[in-house]
Amino acid sequence: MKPKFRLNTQEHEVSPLKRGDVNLLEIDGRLVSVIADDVHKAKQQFVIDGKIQDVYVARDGDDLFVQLNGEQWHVQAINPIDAAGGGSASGNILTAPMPGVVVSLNVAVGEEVSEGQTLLTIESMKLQTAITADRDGLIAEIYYQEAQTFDKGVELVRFEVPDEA
Amino acid sequence: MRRLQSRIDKTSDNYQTYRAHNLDLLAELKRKSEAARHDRPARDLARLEKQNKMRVHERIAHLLDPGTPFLEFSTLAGNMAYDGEAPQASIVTGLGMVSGREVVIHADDSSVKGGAWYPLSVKKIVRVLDIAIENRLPVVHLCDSAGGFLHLQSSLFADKYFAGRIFRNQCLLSKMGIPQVALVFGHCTAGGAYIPALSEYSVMVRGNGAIFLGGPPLVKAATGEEVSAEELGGASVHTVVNGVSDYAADTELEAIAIAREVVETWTPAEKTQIATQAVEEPHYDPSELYGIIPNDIKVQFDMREVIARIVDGSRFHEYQPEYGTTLICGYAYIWGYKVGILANNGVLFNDSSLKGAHFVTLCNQNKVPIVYLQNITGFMVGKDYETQGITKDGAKMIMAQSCSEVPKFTVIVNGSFGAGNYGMCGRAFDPRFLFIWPQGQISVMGGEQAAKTLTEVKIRQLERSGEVVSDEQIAAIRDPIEQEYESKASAYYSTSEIWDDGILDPVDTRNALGMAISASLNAPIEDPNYGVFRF
Repeated sequence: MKPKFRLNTQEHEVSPLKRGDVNLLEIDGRLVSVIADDVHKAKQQFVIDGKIQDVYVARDGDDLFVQLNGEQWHVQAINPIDAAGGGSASGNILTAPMPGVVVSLNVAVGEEVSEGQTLLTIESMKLQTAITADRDGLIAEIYYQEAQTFDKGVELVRFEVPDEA
Repeated sequence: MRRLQSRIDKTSDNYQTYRAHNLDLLAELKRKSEAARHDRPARDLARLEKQNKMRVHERIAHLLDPGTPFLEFSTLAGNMAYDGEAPQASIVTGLGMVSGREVVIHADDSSVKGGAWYPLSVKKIVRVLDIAIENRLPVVHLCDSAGGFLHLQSSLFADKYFAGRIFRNQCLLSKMGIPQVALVFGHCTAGGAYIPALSEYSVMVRGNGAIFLGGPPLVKAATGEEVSAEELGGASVHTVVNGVSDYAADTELEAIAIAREVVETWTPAEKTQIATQAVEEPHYDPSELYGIIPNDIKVQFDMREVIARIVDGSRFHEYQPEYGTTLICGYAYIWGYKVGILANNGVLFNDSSLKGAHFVTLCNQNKVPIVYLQNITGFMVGKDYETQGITKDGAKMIMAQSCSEVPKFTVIVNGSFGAGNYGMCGRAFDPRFLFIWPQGQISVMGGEQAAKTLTEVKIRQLERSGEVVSDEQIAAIRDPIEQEYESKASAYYSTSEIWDDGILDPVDTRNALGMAISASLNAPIEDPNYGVFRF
């Protein structure tokens, strides 16, 4: 899988083909040779395709800010799992992780909720657990009311399916 | 490795309430710790000054390499014992750097009853020497003890893990080639005399330091001979005439300087290599932990929020994210060291137990140390789960965990109840280090349930004898049980009894684990090997 980077707003594929005194990169299918002394220094000189260039680099977490030839670039590595659609919720139904009783309902049918919002609180084995929305959406149905008990794996909340709305 | 996404809303009422609650707990911890370290009667402090003796924490500060951290163990040992007469159980222990070597320190505190050993003092010394054996860490002993506290001798002398164990552990360390140096600042009498004698090196302070099997009063009583402590067992005898000790110093500072040079001569340990990468600070601020841990131990929270504030870059590779979801398993780095993490996100079910057992074997196969983050009410009960064989799945988790060869580290973040404590590597399962957070609770079942069960039994007894039981009577039975139970389930009781290696400020957890992992790598990691799993 070829690593992807976002340069300002544009995405590029960048594959390191050879590491050593001269690094060889394939950028969007084009080969580029780069000689860099220490990539962790703030100010450094790169030799890019034989041309000496002054480069300034600042790092903020995963974000890299690069100044090259008087131009500013915001560089971000794109995580391949996220890029492939990982992390988003799969179904439109939230099920009970364990048997228990509903302690409190925090939302009502028809309510718009956002990811991470507490929908209801359940209690099981002396432990209260908040059931939170795994995505933004509209609540279509709530199957249990306060003080009602339920088994493991039953449906607790159903979200409106977008094309149903 | 991807970064965890925090879902904490710092503007929420809950966050603010929890934060205020946890900061109160922290203030109490800091107040108690400071008092245990430093508050002593003026009379005792004046005596030390007259003897030209430094306070124990001052001695340790001089011994350590400047600017390096000291991880003190069980600061509040003994805080709920002996009516508070023995702060810190009269002993200071910890992990630190001396002349560039990782060492553990055992130091007597003679500001408390002349440094006499209480039963918990002995337990604390044995524990730090166990740490030395398990992690192959050299030891520096700072000796200044009047000997065993005679009123309690039956609780500290004869049993397997009592005082004899100190000397047995010293001998084992020596046999393993792990060196010890003892500094003799005061009297080492009777059993205490063996600490310097069983150390490879010892330094005595002229005038104050003395080593003898019987002190002057005992000698006079036994044989009528009148002799001063210096003549009987001072530096001038032991470092010149008989070689009981090796070096003499005029002052405590000189003795410490000699000991530092002795440590410098020791060959540094070759550390076990495990997977590492460049250190990255957590992306999420660890101080947000105060707003995450609820003010009620019954309220569940997402342990990923805790992981995100302990591990490098808040990055976590979660294993089986959608299976056995009440146990979070996955890989992360702490101070650059790769670790496997098992963290509770609810009750242990069949699937979460199997996942835990499986993940532990993965970590062992790949020599990845394991960190357990406990918030566990236990294994699930009920007909469905018994039918599915929850007991044998829990047994698999305990088997994998017990037989682990990789170093294990346990942090009791909140609750630690019932067999959950076993599956998640409680004290009995030899985690290299075990720490607890201020709100942590440990007991065989929750206090409320225990009080209910015991009250129920009592009421039935009374009813059988024909009595009518009033609500007041019930409360009179239940409340003391509940109070007793709650106090003995608390982090302060656990740490008082040395069931853990100390109560941690949650924010310090990352640093404590970093030091603990680094120390553990002085010992080799053996190949995986287990008993019989019940399938």
